[in-house]
Amino acid sequence: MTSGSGTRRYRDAKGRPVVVVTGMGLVTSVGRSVDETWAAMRAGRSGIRRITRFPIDGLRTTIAGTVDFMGVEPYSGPDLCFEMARSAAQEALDQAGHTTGEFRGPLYLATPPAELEWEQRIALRKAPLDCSKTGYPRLMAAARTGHFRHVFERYQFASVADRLAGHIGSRGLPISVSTACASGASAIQLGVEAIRRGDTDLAISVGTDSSVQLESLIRFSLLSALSTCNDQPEKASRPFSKTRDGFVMAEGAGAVVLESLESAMARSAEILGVVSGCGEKADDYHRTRSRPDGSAIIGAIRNAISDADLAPDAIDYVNAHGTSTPENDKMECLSLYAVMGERASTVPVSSIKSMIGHTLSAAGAIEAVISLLSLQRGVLLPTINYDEPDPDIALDVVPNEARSARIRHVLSNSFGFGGQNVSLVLSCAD
Amino acid sequence: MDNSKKNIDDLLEKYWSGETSIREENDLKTYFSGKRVADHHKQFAPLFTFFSEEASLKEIDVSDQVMQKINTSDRPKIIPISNWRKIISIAASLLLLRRMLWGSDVSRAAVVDARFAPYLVHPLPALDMSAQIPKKSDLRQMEGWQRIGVYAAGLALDDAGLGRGSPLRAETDLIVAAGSGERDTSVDARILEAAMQDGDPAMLAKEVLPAALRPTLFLAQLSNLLAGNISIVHNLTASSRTYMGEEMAGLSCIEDAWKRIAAGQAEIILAGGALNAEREDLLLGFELGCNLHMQPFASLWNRSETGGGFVPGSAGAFLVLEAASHARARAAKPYARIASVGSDRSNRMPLAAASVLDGLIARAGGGLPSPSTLVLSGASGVEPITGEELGVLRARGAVVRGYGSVLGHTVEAHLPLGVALGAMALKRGMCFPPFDESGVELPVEGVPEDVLVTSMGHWRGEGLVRLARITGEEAR
Repeated sequence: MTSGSGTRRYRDAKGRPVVVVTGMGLVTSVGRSVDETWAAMRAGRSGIRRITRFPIDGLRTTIAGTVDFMGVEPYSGPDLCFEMARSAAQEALDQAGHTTGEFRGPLYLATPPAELEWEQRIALRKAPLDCSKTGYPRLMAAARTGHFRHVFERYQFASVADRLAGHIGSRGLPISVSTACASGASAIQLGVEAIRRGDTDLAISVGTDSSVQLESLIRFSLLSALSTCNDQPEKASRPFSKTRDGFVMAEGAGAVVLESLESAMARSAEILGVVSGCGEKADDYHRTRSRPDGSAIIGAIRNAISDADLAPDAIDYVNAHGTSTPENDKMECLSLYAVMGERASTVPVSSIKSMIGHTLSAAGAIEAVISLLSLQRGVLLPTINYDEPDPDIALDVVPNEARSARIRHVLSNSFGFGGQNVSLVLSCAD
Repeated sequence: MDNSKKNIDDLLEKYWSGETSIREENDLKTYFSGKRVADHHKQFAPLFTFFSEEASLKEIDVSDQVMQKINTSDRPKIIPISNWRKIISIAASLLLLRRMLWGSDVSRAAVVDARFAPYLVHPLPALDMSAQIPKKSDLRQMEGWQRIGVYAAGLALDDAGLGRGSPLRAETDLIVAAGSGERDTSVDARILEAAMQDGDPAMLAKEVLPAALRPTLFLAQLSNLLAGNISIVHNLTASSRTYMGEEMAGLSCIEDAWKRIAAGQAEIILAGGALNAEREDLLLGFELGCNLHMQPFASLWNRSETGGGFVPGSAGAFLVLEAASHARARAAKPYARIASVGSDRSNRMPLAAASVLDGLIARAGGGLPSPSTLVLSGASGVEPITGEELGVLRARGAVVRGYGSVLGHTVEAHLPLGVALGAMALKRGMCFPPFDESGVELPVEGVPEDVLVTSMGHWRGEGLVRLARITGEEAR
């Protein structure tokens, strides 16, 4: 692309600034950088393993895609969230050629809700107090001593975003967004919207999640959402296969530096891809299930494709939400058929959750990075553990082995618990 | 109860979908602690038997429990507060149009509740939740903060002319500012006592937590499920976003709505938040940072002498924000115009936030505040930030009303609440009477032309919203 063709190319068909990606960063259970993660996934390696972070005796699910190599000891949800987000953001800023500490744009962070953990509650309960209170009145009396201010600063909902903003030097109010499992895609959408409005010419969007702790695991387990394939952790996440039995909780972070094409060209930055469309649609059917006709998911996908000013036929690859729950994978297949017609049977569809599990708030950001890498490197990552196809899901899931293919437009889906669905269309740079 | 295999299967299915009532869960407990548990059910028995000896969960429905709480009426009235009351339907707009409503009687302003002594809360007044949440099954699947939010959201939609069945609901985007939902504090307390007696950390995983946690409660805890419930109850099926981050959540929510509408990225948005202050777990979270004001009650500007701090208030505040052209086309009446929204993050070194606020006021327009500007301060009472804010406002000679004195500090909902109050003042053409007797807030006559709503987070985040009165020309 040259700048000689005038300003028109800096705008999309709808007259909005074209938004490109100039930096990417990843932390996943299979690697602590973009290249490590890509190499592992290209080889079809799984990051799912037995949980060692806390006692697992008697639990229905004892496996997860934990990130245990960030040096966060002892484990604390917000600290691990921050460390992964910091690492991914740093990698993205380095690649984009922006100086960490002096980033000129806003931060959009997808992060899980903050909540005190049992370790802190127990520490409060054990604090020596000259009183016989029990329960929360005792915990509050311990809090009043002022000895737990460091806990307060860590467990505010704004904490991770605030620390990250301080670290990278982003401008303005750091934004913390949650649309459950679609949060990472929402964070990217917020950055795209800000650039399209002309509020800024660059932004950083990060998704991070460190939710593998006892109580969260049990909560998802109680909803029967998790795979119980504990004996073979690396085989547990089986998107689109007949024997799939739930998702596998996982951790990680993904980051992208978003920039207007004009700004990127002006400073001769390498353009890694284009975020050409974002689509959202809320479901009003049920708290944990999508409307049986798939209308909300279908709506999100259609909105993203139409926002990119494309026809469904232009989509030549799908990075699926593909959680490996019986419900999601069936609904996602149905929705792809509704949008793409019979062509859905031949468009390749990968679920990288087969390898790294479901990284919840981070998933949309991690999957956007992987989609951009597929566009850039001409390789479709495999859906591993696809040993027994589900006859009701007639999709080309890029089974078990990576595949070379030149693609131009990837659809990346993220469907949230609570009915919040977001799809992105990512396109190649030229 | 019906102990047939089919019925237990159905109940289990309901349980895992997070739809069971406490009564149904007790039925499951009774079944699993009995002798006739079917073989294929035995694997689930540990979930339902751990606390069975304690008869811990009372035989009342959660919704009844909350209703009882809400209906308690003998609360001490500490500050006599004046005239404006009743459920006030408000809203506002122009460049953006807005409508709003909050689900409360302002007379509750006077009410402070000492149930959580030494802490105080401003409780929610009695409300008939079924007026906005008709289905019992919906009510049962929500905790207090979600009910308050869904209720207030419904009032705002109705007030904006988007009543139940309105086709516009499917086109209305949703932005929610949220923390998260309540924990079962009695269960937490039992777990803590069990953990004190049995030092084995494996015990938590193996026996205690699986029995103590309820799927229904999990769904009531997730931040994004206030938005989820609003979509379900009010059939909002366009986009849905939830911002987190205490006061910054409310600021992000209003700023996102304003920017999207101003840029033509959206036409009509329901935006707001809710807080249930009457929760020990919420109080604990803020008191970890020593942020709460303790008895006796003092109004905002009088509080610094007794240590400062905030008194949490239960509230739901939602607004319908709309492009002026969109509102005009459907003949909706605006309350006020949002002229600007500004936000920033200072590092909170001494006077850093004051300097940010000063800059935000300067950027909101020349000569502000003018003699006809009303400043609605969202100050929390936490020091030193409250003092810094007051210093800036006094130096600029502003007419100030700190609405936290009467409504409490409503955290995520606080800025939407302030914007709602500002819109009301502009619509009625009058300033509120003083909320505080420290002498900071003086009575004023005259019609306000502008309202500045400040949002200085008790820990982080600075923001300012400027509202302007709808002129005769704009109203046409």
